[in-house]
Amino acid sequence: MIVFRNLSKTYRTLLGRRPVRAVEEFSLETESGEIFGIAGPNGAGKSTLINILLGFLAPTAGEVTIGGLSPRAWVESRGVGYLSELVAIPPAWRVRGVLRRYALLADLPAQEREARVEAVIQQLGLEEHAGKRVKQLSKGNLQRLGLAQALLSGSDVIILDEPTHGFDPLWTQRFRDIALGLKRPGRTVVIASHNLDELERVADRVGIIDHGRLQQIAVIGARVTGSQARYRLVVAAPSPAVGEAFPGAELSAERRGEEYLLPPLDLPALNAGLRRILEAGVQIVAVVPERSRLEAVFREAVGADE
Amino acid sequence: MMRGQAARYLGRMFVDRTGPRILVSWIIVAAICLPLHFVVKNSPPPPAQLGNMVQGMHTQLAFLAVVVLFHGIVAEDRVKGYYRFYLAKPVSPLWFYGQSYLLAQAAMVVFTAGFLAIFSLSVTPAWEWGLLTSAVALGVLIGGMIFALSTVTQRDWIWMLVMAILISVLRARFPKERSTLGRVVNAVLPPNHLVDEKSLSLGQWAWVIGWGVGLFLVGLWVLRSRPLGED
Repeated sequence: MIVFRNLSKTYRTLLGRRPVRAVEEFSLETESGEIFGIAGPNGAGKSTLINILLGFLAPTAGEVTIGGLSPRAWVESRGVGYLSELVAIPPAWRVRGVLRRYALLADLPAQEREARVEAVIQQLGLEEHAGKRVKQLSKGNLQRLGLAQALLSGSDVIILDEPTHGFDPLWTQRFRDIALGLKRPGRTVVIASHNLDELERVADRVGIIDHGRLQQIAVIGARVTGSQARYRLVVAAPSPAVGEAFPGAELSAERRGEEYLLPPLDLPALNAGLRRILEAGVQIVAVVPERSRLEAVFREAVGADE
Repeated sequence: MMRGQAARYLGRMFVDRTGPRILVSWIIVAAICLPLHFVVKNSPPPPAQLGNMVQGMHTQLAFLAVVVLFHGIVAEDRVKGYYRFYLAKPVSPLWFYGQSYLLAQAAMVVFTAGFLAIFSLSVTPAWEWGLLTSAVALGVLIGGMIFALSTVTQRDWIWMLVMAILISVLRARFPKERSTLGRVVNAVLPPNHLVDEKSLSLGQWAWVIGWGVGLFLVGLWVLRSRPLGED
């Protein structure tokens, strides 16, 4: 669906001094029907990639296509559901008016337009703010309005840049349901986020980029499960069986006697060890990943553990 | 973007952008005409002087109106980032900003009609058809210049003023009657001096319209070839 081929983008100053390579030799293919996450540290090139994908920036080298078309040709013929990292909407407009304007530009049929506007207002919980001006909205509500306009049309391509920026925990959780609800055959959803936990919950694959390069693609539920991670094992009472099943396990300094910090393990090794301690009669209270699995892959990819 | 859809958004553009700017321009006209009302009431000027007064006021205020109506068509959206949501919809930047320019063009005529109405109501009845064509010339040439600058700079109207001053200085420094260089300068520079004229010959009209439309097309070409996210 979306193809990046040897894409590079270099920012140059007016005099051409100190060029900044934001994206380098980036190649990737997203599939129709998937939610693809883009993760990376600040300045990794996520926003540059998204701007190129929308045709707001021109690549220095390489190419991007959406459904075989150039980004602008796709956007101008079909439109894209897009939420930018910073939501910029004229401050004097009212919430319902904002959505009516964008619905008009989104080429929604006249008879569906009003119903669609009301539907996204309800979906994003903006009913009580519908009559307010944009400048009166809190950061979180403005972000919800930005997300609402991205969901107005049933575009086959949806691009969300830091979608939960400014959301409270409740709306962060609700966003996951909304994002999962966007998944459908023929549609590609791209989500760029710092929030690895969020990406792990909603994305099928996550591309980890750093210094403008694609470092790794983590396939959630497959590639990620193949990686090693550390876990905290909480038991009802300490037992030597834990040390035997997990050589190198250490008793936690904070909760001595109940909690063990296990050495890095992949899933088969973890499950084998847990089976052994259960057979030895140990009562397991909890097994908690010390970091999310995606975070472990992320840190490995960007060299944060070095 | 479908033609019908673009036309339908024209109404929104008028309400959001052009309409309020016409109102601001008229308020400025009214603020200037109100004191004049008392001056003329006490000592009415001769009819010949009245014509010059209308013409002079219009030249000054229409220049102000063209700046108010045309500035920031592209630059404001780019600086504030509004283009991101507009242009993620099935919208061509050429259509979107091109129709905004055309709307401002029509607004110049509406402004002048309003100017004459306000002047007639507050000072003394006056109607000059020539002022309407003068407004068109001003809108096409100076508006085209602002539009072209809007696609490449963040402060289009300031650059337009710089250019207008530069053009005036060059014309004054190299008069066409005195040297070949003067004739070349006069032929090459945009004919800003003609927009103040009450009536233009056909050739002068072609010169003004040619420059204005040319600048507008340059703006569209920039929009087509240079993405809005580029600095």
